[in-house]
Amino acid sequence: MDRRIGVFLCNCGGAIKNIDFDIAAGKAAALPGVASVDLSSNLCLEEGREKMLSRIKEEHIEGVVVAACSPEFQEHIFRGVLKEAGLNEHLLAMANIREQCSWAHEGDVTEKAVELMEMAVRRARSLQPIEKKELPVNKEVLVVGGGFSAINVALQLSRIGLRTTLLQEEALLGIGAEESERFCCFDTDSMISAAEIDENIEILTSAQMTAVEGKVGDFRVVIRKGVEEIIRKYGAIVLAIGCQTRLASDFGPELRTGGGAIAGPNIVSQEQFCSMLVNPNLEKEPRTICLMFDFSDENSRFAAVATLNNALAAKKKWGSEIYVFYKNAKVDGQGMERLYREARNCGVVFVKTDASPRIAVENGRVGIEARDTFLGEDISLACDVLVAEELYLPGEGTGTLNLLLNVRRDSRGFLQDENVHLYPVGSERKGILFVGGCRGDSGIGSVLADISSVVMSVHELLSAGRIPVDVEKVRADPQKCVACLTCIRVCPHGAIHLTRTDNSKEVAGISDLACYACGICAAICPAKAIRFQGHRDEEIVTQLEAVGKALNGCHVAFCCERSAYPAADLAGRLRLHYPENLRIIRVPCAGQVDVFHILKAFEKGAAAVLVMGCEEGACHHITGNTRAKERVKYCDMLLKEIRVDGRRVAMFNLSPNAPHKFVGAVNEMIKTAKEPGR
Amino acid sequence: MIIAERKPMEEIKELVAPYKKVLVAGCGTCVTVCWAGGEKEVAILASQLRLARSAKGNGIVAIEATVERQCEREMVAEIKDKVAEADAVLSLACGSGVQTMAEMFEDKPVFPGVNTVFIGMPQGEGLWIEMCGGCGDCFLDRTGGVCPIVRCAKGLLNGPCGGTKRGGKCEIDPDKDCGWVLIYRRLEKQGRLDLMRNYYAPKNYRAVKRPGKIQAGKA
Amino acid sequence: MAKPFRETLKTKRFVVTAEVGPVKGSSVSKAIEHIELLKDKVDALNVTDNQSSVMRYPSLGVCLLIKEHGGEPILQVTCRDRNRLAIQADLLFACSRGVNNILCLTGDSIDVGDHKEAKQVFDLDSVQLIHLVHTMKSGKDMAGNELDGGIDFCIGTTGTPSADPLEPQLIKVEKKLKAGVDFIQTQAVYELDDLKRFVEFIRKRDRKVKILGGIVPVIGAKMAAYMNENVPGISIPQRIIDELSQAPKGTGIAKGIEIAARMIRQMKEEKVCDGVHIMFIGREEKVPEILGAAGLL
Repeated sequence: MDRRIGVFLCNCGGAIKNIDFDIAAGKAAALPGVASVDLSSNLCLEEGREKMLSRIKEEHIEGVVVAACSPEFQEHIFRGVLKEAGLNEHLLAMANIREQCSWAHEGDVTEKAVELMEMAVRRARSLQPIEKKELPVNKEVLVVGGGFSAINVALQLSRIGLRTTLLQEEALLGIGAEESERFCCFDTDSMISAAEIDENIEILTSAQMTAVEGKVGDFRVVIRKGVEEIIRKYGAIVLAIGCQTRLASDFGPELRTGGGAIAGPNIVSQEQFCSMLVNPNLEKEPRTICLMFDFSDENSRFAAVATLNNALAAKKKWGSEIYVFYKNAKVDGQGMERLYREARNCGVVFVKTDASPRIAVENGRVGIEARDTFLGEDISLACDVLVAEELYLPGEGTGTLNLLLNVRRDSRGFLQDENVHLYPVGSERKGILFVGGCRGDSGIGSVLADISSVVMSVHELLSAGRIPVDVEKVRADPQKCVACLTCIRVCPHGAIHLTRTDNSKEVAGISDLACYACGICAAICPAKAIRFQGHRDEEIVTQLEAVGKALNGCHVAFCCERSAYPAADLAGRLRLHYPENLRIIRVPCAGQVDVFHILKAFEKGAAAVLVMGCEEGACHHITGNTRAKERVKYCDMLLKEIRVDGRRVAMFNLSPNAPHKFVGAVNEMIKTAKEPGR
Repeated sequence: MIIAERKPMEEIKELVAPYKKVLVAGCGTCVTVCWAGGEKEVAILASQLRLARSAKGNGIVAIEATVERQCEREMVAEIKDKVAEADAVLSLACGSGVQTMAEMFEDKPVFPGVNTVFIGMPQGEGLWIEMCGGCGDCFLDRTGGVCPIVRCAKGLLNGPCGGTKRGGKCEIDPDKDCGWVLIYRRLEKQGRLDLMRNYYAPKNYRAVKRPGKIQAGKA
Repeated sequence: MAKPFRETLKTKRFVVTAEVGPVKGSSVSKAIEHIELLKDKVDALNVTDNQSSVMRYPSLGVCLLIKEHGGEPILQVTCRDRNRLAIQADLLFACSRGVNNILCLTGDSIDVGDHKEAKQVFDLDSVQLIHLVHTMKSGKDMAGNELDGGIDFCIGTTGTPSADPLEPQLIKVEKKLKAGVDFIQTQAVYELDDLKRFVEFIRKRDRKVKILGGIVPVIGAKMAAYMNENVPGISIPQRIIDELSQAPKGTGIAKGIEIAARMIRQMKEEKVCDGVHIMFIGREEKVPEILGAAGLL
């Protein structure tokens, strides 16, 4: 704790007006551990940085506090200065005296600035260095699937020099029948032959993945091919298993034959209709055609594109009378609006109807009855061919694969959790990516974009052959770990595994490669064995010690650095004022906030505690904000049972661009929390 | 593993009410794993006690300590200085740990802060189920590895009672599986249903003579 | 004097038993009323043993009252409240006082009753209890000691035709049959097919045992829903709940009696089983109405 701290104050070229820097500097100099205090007006510019560098050297500074703007902006620059000075870059603590102090309040805020500096000084004294290292990774990629997306990912990865294994359960590579209508404009045969002769591509068919261990850069995959069991290592895994189609349930069993196919030549699937379109020996060209889509699943872009394409193709080829029945027809995919217009302009008739039309087969023709929503009239017509609505569903085996890989599925069962931060192709686990139909159905344009995104992501991860990591930034102390598996169960990124220490004790091992440093594990560890550098108990509690010294009954907000913290910054920049007695502690994720930290804040005199994280469904660590909500609920119970009344602790969800919501939440909480009953 | 859960706060507050300085003592083994009495729970409870008492204007000094196994005298001895400093000990260990602590510091009031509930295993994150009743006369060989003594609400030995409902749920709690249905399904899977058709005579419920005592035969 | 139940079971006629629930308290006048009302209308009267784990006047006590009033009692014995010593002692007492019929039961869980914090015993289970009765008949107690005078009971037990899943329940019933029982009074039956399946299973293994279908009348849709949730071993189908909810206000009891009587008639006419056991919990005085409606008077 006797580390020499250097404090660097910056008035931001005069943009910070309501702090008396001389007083602040004087008070900072008196703080325990502070060896030097410097005032600057341009710390982030070259001149300022050079001065900072020389002061660190001259004064033999061992830890740095920068009291200036938000760390969101220049933290990396100041870390660079520490590095240049030969200090570990993590021995830096910032006091956000601009956005979250000067600009957030009216009048003189020198006292608050001093307190923020004290929090930072205390933190800087307890921070520990983190070593950086580059870890070698396996550069081979496993692509599961053998369809359009899989082959194209493999071909493109080969072009940038990465070797892949195409692994597929079927005996042959190729476009599945359900995909053919979407990819008919591509020369798929030549793609397959290109893959077959590509030296960077190994093709394993009639084989399946049965077990996966390890992490990004170092996955150990067990593959079963017949009776043989192959064990291979990969740096990344790409899932391209496609989706499957099924006729919408409105077509009752009486219209189908045993295998689910439609009975008779009158009612066909999109796939069957496609083969009619390319059949040169078709007995009779249909004069009237009806197509249906969008009744069972209005979000299916695949179905929409297939319908529009086929309607257009039939119109052009046969000049038939064509009716398309739909409910909402979303044409928001790439090129879809154009396709829709073209079809209309060619004379395809679109009939909007709220309910699925009634269908009857009579005398070799299909009778259709529906109510046109726009005309408000019942329509009845007969056609030669009805193209039935198709549903796109997760491919077979999706359920096994997601368990095997420990990744979540969306509410429809497709292979990607509905979390905006995973889009377009990511999973919650580094090095596991999704492409094409298995992510949910999207138009061909999205599939092509997916392929590029996957190739780009894999390139970024593996091409260098090394991944830089913070060594043991999050670590389970083997002395304290009781191997309760809690962290392994809660880690949203699959980064923790049971491992053995040198003396063969089983403990939780956190992979530096796979870890996203969210801190969810540290906050739940019942043995307090997980140390998250920069956010350890000591580092949090020591800041709380300084809280409320200057102001009675202050409020503490634990703010997620992805949402609430930048929202607070934005509030400052927009000069949206909120009460001065709010103290913000920046956390990597709301899920990192420990119940113990919240209670400690109350012990240190906080009147209320706010935990502020991302909007629901938008947590960068998938479950962080929902866990935070549960913990806040638990904490509220802990307070109620010791008769600490009132609304003392609350969870707020907001996005980084919601400064008004931030200020609203703070004001609301400060208003409703009672004064501490002490 | 032994599963425990924290006692109601009202009860804990009453236990420590007369004391100024209380040692909250955790155990680093079973109760840590089941989120009842490890270092984290010790910190939370100590914090709660401080907050509760400071709110009443009747301050308390809550000292915190966690030993690896509170049922080992040698390990408890490691915190004897902290015990000496305290007016009373609130132990978050299982009943064994509380008693070890009480035995080692005979002049010190030692209170249980948790209720020891059963021997069990985790079924998911933060969820534990009872697996073993410690009856001293293990029956698992006859029941496909599912214990009827504790996983059947009545501890029946010859099959389910008449209360099995809703596809195999217990009559007293629709959220709990009927132990005998579990046994049936396991044995059926193994093609060993004959085991269930066997008659089992009344069990020796005195296999463990209270108080239980075991002397290992090995030197 | 009533005909011994063992003798009744030997005849070909449709056997009828009914349940008498002991009173809560020491005043037995209500129980005596029920005994007087029913003793000549049915072949035997079952007396429940702290039914639904609710503490009451003892089963054995009411059995003795039935004897005093000239009826034929069936002593229900559960394993919940007594260990093997207490059960054996009770059996000796019962036998010495001429109570000659026993219904061996597991017993409901303590959790459904009015003393939820009591220690439940279950030292024995129902199969072991049946074995115990046979052991004591041979003149020895469970520990193998000679008895000065053994016991002799006409032994019955129960089974749940609507258990879900049914298979484990049937295995248990099979074990009871092997242990040796003279009659089975099933838990409440609402689906005749359930009972048919159940009887068929038993008949394949034991041609002699008499099977009495269990009847628990339900007198309202709300009560049915409550029973489905809270009464062990009962599953009332939606069909019957619907029928009850359609009955005009105030006619619930009549409707319940009608449904019960219909079920009894079907059981008798289709020869599904050898008799019925009517459990009209807390409304013993209404049992004659059911018997009348079912043509059993």
